Amino acid sequence: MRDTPELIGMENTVDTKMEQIQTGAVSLRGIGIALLMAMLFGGMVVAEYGLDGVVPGAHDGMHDYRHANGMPCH
Amino acid sequence: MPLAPRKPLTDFFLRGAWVGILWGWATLGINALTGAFVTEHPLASNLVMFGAGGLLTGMFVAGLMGLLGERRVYGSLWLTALALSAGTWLALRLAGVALTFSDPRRYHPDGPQSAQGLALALGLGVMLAAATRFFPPCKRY
Repeated sequence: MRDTPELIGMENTVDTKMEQIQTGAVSLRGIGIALLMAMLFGGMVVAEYGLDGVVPGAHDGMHDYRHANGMPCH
Repeated sequence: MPLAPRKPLTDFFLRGAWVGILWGWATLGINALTGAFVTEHPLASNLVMFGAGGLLTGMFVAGLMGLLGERRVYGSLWLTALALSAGTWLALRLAGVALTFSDPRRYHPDGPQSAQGLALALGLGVMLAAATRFFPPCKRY
């Protein structure tokens, strides 16, 4: 069966929709990765500087780790 | 437009997690050997804390490696891992210098500990590069 103009138009619409879905999926994944990296970096900062204000007990808990890695401490 | 491959980046994070935990424990052992800092907490507590610190650092650096993909320093996986690991440590250490300026009595710098920190950061880079080299992304899929 030859493709009628209607069918060709439908294919284009499907292609566009797929592209939108795929682009959306990549963007969501990118946001997820960015959030994970930000959380990891935040965790590192809390651990390396012992920010008790953010995580209570972080200063004392990570004290030895901080010194062993050469971060300034009291 | 094809989707970006999903598993390799997940692989980098997972690899960073187990390498990071091992690195954290290695940090504890190396610190005991060098004596740069005499630990104050019990071994069991430190195993958890050093493991947690290593987990965060390992996953972060491995995540950066994964995000860079094939863009590498002089085309070398090893140099890239070393640069990212040392760069991350250096950025944190430089922020520590700011803390020292703001409160020198509390945040006093310590030369041997800083040297050990940089060496350990380079060690993490070597471990991550070795793990990436010998356990490449998607090899098992």
